[in-house]
Amino acid sequence: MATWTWFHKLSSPPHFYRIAGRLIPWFAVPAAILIVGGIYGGLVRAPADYQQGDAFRIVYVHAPAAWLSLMCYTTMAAAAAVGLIWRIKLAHALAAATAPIGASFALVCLATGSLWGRPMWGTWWEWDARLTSQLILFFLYLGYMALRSAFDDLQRADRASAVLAIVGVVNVPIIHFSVYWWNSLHQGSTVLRKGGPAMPPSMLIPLLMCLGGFTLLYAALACIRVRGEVLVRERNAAWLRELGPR
Amino acid sequence: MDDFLHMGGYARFVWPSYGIAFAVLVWNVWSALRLHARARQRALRRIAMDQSQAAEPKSNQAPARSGEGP
Repeated sequence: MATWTWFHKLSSPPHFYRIAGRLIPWFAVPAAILIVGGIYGGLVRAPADYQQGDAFRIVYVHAPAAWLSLMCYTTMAAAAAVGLIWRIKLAHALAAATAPIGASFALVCLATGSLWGRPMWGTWWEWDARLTSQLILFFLYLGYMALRSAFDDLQRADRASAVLAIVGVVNVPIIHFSVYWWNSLHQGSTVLRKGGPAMPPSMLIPLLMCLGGFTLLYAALACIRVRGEVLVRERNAAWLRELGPR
Repeated sequence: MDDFLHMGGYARFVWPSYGIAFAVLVWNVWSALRLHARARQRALRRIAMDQSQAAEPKSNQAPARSGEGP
């Protein structure tokens, strides 16, 4: 009951606006520390891979970007579903705020994957299951944002884009399992696999730091963006009159 | 240092990857802050306009005059 009351309170825009404002530094500072530490560990401290040499160091930006692109889409679809079912405006705001973040990291994933693929596979691009499904994810993000911008009425934009986000979520497990379901150039999971991670701690710890740092960065960015979305949506709310310096 | 920059011969793949990731990271922070700042500015302007409209007494409104050009 207490959880529900807390959730209900958090879903009120003024309350969320204040809470999110206070949370931003708590996400952003650890995110910066983890990303800088992880990149340093990955570029400087980790040994070169016995097969891929120093090219494997691309993993420290490629894997976190891939993770974020999938996590963002799942978050976006879940938020869109909550918004659609319970008509919570804040959930739609979260979905709208997440899309550009997810799209940008899907692009980083594709670009760094291509730069990694060239020396390892001998090609910049291959119409392989993992690469193609990731490209579809990027297009789903673009489609979601284009659909939103096609409506002047925010409520209609929320509803129409929510349907697209929910339908598109089917692509997320396809991306994850594509390397097992089909023959793929792409390697299987390195961290989440049977028998434990396929990396020594000197390589794994920086990767986990980057994964954690990127996730916290998303949380900070989402807080900032949702606050902006709330201000756009709450056009006539009385609480806006009490806006402080932040 | 040269060895580090050389990346075992993979420098032209490793450094552009980090460059792209860094650029997108910076863009994300910049665009999120800009989105919030603009929305906030617009909200404050709207509040100021509403307040000035509410404060304006009706008697101050100039009566419509006929026969005047644009």
